[in-house]
Amino acid sequence: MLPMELGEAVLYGALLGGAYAVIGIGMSLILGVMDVMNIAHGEFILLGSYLAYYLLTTLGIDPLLSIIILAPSFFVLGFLLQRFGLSKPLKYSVDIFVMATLAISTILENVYLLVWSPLQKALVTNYMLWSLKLGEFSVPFVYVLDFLVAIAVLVFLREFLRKTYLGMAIRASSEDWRMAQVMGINTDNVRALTFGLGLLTAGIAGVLIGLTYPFSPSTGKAYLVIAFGVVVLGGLGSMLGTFLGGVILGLVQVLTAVFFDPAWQLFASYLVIFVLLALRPKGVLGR
Amino acid sequence: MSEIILRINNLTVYYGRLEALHDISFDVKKGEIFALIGSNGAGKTSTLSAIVGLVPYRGNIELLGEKIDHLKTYQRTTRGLSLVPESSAAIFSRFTVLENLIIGSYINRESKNDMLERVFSLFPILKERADQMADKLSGGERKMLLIGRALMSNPKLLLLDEVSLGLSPVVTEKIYEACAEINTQGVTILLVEQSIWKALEKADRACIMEAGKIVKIGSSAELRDEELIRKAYLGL
Repeated sequence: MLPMELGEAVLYGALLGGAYAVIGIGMSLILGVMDVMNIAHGEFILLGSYLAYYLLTTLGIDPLLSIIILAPSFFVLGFLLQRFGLSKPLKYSVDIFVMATLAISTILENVYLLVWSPLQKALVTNYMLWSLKLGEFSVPFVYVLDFLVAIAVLVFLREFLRKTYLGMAIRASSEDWRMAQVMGINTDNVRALTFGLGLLTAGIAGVLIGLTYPFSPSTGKAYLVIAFGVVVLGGLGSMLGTFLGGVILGLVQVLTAVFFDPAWQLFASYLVIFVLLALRPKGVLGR
Repeated sequence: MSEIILRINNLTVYYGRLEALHDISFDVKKGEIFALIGSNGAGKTSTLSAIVGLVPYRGNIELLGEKIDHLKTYQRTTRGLSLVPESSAAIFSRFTVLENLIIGSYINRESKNDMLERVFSLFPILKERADQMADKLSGGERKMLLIGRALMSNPKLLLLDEVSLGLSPVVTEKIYEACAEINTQGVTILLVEQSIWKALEKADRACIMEAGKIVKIGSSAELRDEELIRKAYLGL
């Protein structure tokens, strides 16, 4: 019985890790390229959940279809926000940038309270209760969906960063922004592009997590903590690292809940993060 | 040879309260190799940094008759300037050799393949190492990569900062041979060099700098014959 339980828990944890990876990828990009923490990252994920909820409840658009609308919209929002709202704070100092994103985070949380009330919401669909048979195990469909979309997003970003001029410009700027400028790269636009991509993944993560768990205006902070954990576990600048960071965090949380007590999940997660960073400060695959 | 490609007028650079360059002026003619010569702290690298817009300055800089002071670094690159920095650490170490070259063609994408061929014919070793990570290259190969990367934008004026620094005489000679070939292909070169012998041998004209000021400007032949320079710098 124990191997069966263990197998199921490992499978659940790994699948959940895919969703965690999507939560973390935007933060990893922004932190890796711009060397700054976007404190509003969790609230932007939550914005994805709430907008998908709005599209579902008012226009009847399925959350998975809403990704097609939300992903490009989030990219444009992120690009414009960085280009015209956050570029001056960033040039002035990293601390001011972080404060500005903290302000955005508080504004968004209050908007959610005003518009959608403090009550929990959920993206209720007919497939939210489906389950899939994987070998001998039965797992929720949304977990598998989270995992597959996570892989798709990570592969897309990896190829974009490796194969396109814009992706290479992002990588070059993250390594040496002065030399990137010497190459003819407008690093202000690269930062905006990076922030746009960070928000694009936040929007997708918002829809996926909204399909998986209920959410309320204060949930954004929990997402920020998960993103932070994924990034420090996986290491900056590696798509595979981000994915592994998500899987490790997912496994630790599910295994703790199954074999100890759900109340110990956060404790166990951060114990693992601390031990791993003490032994390997750059994360599993960080540069 | 007489058209001016770069004109520097009354250029002054400060780092905090320290004056690194004091009111220098000189011209670089189209098609020539022009050298800035001087010891450490003479202001050579500060001059190049100001030209590409990496440090703030007073005075003005004209490229092909157009004032470029208001332009940012990346815009100056699009006007035809390309810098080869002194430090080998300026390669993108998390890129492969080929990726380093490709990012060099960021503003010249349509000619990427032609420029790659040109760079590989100048430095065949880079073709052999194309798929290696750039941080695995030797010091000389890194310099070749930096020059190749700078060429990929098809510049009008190539700024070379101490390309011979830390290299063996054989490698230095190879790199200077490649620079001469680049120059014969129509690229004007402004090079910075500590070795006055090397600079006067390679350049058409030169400017000798000391403590942020210009001491002497002239053709390499004239400077070699100057009594003061023969005594003070060449030890003759």
